[in-house]
Amino acid sequence: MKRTEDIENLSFEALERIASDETLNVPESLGRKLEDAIICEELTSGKQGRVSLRKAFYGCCAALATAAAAVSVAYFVESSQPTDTFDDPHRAYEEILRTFNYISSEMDLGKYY
Amino acid sequence: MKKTILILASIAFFTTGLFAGNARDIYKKYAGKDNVDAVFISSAMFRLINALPEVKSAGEDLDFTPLMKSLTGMYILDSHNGSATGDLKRDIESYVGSNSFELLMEANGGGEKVRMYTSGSDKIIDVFILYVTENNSSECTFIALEGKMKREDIEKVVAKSIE
Repeated sequence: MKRTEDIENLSFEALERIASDETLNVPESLGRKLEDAIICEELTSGKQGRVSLRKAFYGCCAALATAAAAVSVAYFVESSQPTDTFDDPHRAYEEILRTFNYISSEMDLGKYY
Repeated sequence: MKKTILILASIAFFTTGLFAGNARDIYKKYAGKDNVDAVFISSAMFRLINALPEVKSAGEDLDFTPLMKSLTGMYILDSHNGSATGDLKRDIESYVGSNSFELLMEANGGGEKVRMYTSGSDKIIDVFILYVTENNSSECTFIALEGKMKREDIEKVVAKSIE
């Protein structure tokens, strides 16, 4: 009966020779155990994949939230400008002249500092 | 903890920007209210106005052309609404009191009180405010001119006005 260490210490050629020896009996459950081990390994790596997927999902949410915030701020800045009272520059010019004349008339009686 | 600090800092930054008193905020608050006349002229409109031929050929006693060319915004509020006037007065006084405004002129006569304020440096005025309140009345006028106005241009208009 070989011990585990003996098997681990076997060279690659020795392992190949033993594998090609058809006289040795292979336990019937070995294939199933190997399949189970492979499935377990896949499940483990699949779990890691789900974790990465979750991280990616949160990253996307954060990116979307940032983009939404940026759009909101841009919209606010844009909409914070009041609408021009006049569409026609001639009328706006007349209003400015009227305002300047009003200001100068108010200056007329003022006390200056 | 870091997230909380960042959120609080962001809120502080945005609220400071939103509620910092300026002529635009005051205009936006009262424009559209009943019995409040409002006029706003934007920097884009000023650019159009300055391209008009009549602006270049202005040759009247009081030449406002240099002033007009330096303006980027004009806000006018004329309130005849009792409740709005009270709030407007408080907001204007808070605005000119909390910022780097200096009183340029004050007049009290003819049933009204006129005050003019400027904000800026020795040579350039960034904001000019005219604030007129009627005695024993619910009327109030607020005019704000924004831009890069040369102090000497304002002084020329003042000098010409009092001749």
